[in-house]
Amino acid sequence: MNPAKKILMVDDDDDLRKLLGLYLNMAGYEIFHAIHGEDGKEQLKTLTPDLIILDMMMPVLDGMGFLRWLRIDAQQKNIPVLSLTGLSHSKTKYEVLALGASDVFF
Amino acid sequence: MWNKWQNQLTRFFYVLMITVILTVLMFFEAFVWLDEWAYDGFEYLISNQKGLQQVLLIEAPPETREQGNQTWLTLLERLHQKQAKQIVFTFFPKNVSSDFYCQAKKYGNVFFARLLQPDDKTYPNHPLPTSWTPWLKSYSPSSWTPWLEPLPKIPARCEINFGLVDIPPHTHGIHRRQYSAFLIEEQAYPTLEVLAAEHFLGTPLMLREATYPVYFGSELERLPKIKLDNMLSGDLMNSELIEQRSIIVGFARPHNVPGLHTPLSLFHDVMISMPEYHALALNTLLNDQHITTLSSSLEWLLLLILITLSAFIYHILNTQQASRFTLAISGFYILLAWLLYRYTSIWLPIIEMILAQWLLYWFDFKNKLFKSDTRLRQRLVDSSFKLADRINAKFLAREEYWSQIMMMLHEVLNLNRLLILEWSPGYHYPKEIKALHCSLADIEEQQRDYNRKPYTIAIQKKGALLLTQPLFKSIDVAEQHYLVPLIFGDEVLGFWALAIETRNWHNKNKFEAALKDLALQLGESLYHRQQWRLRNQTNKKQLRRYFQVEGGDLIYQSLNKSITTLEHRLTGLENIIAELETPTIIYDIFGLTLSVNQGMNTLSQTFKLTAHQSTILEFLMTLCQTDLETARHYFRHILLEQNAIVQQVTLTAAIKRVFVLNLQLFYYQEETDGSLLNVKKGILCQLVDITQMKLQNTLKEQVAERLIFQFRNDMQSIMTASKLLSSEQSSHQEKRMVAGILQGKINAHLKILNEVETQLNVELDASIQVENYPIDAKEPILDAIEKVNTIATEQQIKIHHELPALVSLVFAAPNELSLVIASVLTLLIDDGAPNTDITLELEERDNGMTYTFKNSGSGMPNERLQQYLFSDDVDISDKFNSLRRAIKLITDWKGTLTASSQIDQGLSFELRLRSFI
Repeated sequence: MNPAKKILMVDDDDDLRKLLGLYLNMAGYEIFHAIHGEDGKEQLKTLTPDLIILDMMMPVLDGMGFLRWLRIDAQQKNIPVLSLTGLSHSKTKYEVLALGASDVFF
Repeated sequence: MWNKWQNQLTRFFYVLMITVILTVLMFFEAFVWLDEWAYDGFEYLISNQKGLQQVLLIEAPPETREQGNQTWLTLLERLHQKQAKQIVFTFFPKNVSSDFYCQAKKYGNVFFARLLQPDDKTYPNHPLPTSWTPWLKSYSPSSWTPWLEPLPKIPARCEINFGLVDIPPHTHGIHRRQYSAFLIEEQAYPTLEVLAAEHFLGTPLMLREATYPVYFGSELERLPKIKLDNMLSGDLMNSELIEQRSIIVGFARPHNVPGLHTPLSLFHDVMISMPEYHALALNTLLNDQHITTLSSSLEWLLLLILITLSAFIYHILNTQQASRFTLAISGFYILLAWLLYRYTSIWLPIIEMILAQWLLYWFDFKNKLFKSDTRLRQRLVDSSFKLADRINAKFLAREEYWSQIMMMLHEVLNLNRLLILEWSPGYHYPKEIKALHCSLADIEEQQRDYNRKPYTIAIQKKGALLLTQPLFKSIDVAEQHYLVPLIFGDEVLGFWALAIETRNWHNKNKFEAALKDLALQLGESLYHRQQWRLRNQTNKKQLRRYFQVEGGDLIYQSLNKSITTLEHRLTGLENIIAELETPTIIYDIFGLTLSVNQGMNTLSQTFKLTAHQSTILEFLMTLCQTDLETARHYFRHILLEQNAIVQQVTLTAAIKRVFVLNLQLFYYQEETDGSLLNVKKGILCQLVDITQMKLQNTLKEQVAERLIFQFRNDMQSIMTASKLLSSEQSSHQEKRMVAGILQGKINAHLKILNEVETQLNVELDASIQVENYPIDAKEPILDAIEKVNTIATEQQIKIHHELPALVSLVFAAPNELSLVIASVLTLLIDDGAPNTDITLELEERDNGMTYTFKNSGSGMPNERLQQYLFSDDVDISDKFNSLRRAIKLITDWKGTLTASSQIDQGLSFELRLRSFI
């Protein structure tokens, strides 16, 4: 039996983290939580997730800052990132994709 | 067609009138003096041209007349021997025997002058009948008449050939002419010169007039003269002097005896003797130099032809050309007259010709002036009517209008009593229009003749007159009484009598200034009221209206008032444009600037625009930051396609402002062939400032965007929750948890909706500043850094900022937040050490946004800093004052500003503002 895939969810919305975590957990994924970008950076010191689900707008360190750090400074540069954002600007989407997100979900 | 015939008839009338006038004047010899003046001038011009080749004057001392045969018979014989053509004695020698006259008779070529006797009663100097024909005839001594000098007593066989002589005719003492004959007792007698000339020439002279002009062209020095002594002594230099000449024998003029004044006196300052005058007259006849003048009928015909031709020429010339033509043709007449006189001795009526020409010019000029004046007058009257038609005078003539006016005046000025009187042309007394709180006695008293005090004083003053004597009947309360003349177009149209209670009469100057302004408008209203009534009386027919104002001073009055109305309206319009807050330029249809209002002037100064000097193309290029071709396209779009251009433009200088540029044609309505046409008159360019509106719109957009963002975020939760609730894999406990989350989301959304609705419903007035609203948290930071960047560079301090890409909105006023941040930065720069950084961080936490500012600088004791910022007991600098104002604003926004400091470490500030959802 293959070990469960790890997903790091970086989002300041506790409810969304809980709901999405429960949903993905039921789908067989192992979920890890970070409440903002800085928290995510801390998690990645000990964790190598298979996927990062990243909110864009967060306190302390927002999704853009986290993504920029991940693609430039982090050791785990190649972890795929799915971006979740309520911002509907196409400009935001392009910026996020340009920073290295695999896809953007609105 | 009618105009053409009218012109022809007018010209014909002028020609006929001038001809008649000249003929009448000629009949009364009105031009004699002028003609003689012209004759003198011509004589002067052609002087010294011809010599006296056929006349010789022998001058004898007067005392020799008594010397008898010894002198005179000897002279006669000697002259005969020398083959003189004829011998003309200008006197009868005395003491001569009959042999002398018999010898003269024998020679047949000797003539004597016979003087007319001066007799006041019977002086026979009658003009000759026109049927008179020249003749050559001898007279016997028996033909004595009481008016003639008696003839010497001689035998009948030795009858004397005599011609009559008299003092030549003169005008104002100047002798220019000589008689040709005299009519005495129905008998015509030739003059001495005519008798001699006809003998000399052998043919009758065709003289048609009683006098003929003497040719003075030869200078007197050129008249050959011989002294009698020389002649008698035989000292004749040359017999050719005598041979075949007419020898005139006369007495020399003693120096103490005045001679005759002739044109020679005018130009050569010499007077001549009678024998010299006879010699010149004879020479005139002998040389055929007697001047031919035109008969009256010929003169009339000549003038008629010239005037008729000129009348047609004037018709095709304009006024300036006509004056040049008149000058040229006058010169031509003079030249022609001179040439004819010089070479053919024909005398043209030059004065009459020139006068006729100038008379015709004057009539033509007056005619053209009259036509021009008529057209101008008609145009002015039409314009006056059009202006009058455009004013809604009907409303101004209604009773309701004046009732409203009375109430308004009463309420606004707090008047006690007031009365408006109207004075119309044709009325001797002013009549009441409206009265308020006035007794009948007051009204009747004021309707009396106004040519009395205080009316005359008020008219003279042309303004509100404060009366010392009450105008209305006295009442219990103390009042001030005024009399105000209602004037329009310099004409008194009525009066406004009013009374105000003294206790309400606070500011005399302001009150009288208000009376002046209101009286001006009342005067205009009265004028329109009168016009309306007048027009109604004349049945509104154009022709009657025309005659109503045509003629006399009425047209002036009508125009004056219409123009005054127009001036009022134009001034009003100009003031509206000038005072309009919207920056406005008016261009003509060629795109050149006609007018720039004050708002545009101010804007031009702020943003360095050249509204006055620029064409519309240049202005568009500057304003829209576009090229010439695009500006041309805009211009064509407006002018040719007649569409408006509406575009948002942003102007940036020390401040940034957003405008809506509105460019559109404006028109003038012109009536052509009964229909109204829109004539393009220019282009109206307006810049409407929408900076505040734009800002407020942006703010609401941001709020709405934030709501959408939040909904999208929460939608993910809701969608996930609904999937979990419907999933069979979810446990009951999990479903309860999910349901709880879902309920929480719904509650949160309701709260958000309420918050957003509140903010979107805030009435943002474009004219006032936004004081507290959800705004972008980052933009004020960037604005503030731009503001202080110059002084930071001067202090060698860098401002380093780390701003999140996506942040929530914060509650603040957009412009003021920028100023608050700038105040903090300024203090940090002031305190900062050179070559250090100021760090600025923005962090969102705990439903708030935290701005952190730090520097590396001198710092100060923290306690002092706190006092500077928050204690009212300390005197502080302007920079801390700015911060104190900033703290007040932050408090209004429900935010906080904290500060700390350490000596040699620097200052730090933390600004915390509420974030929106």
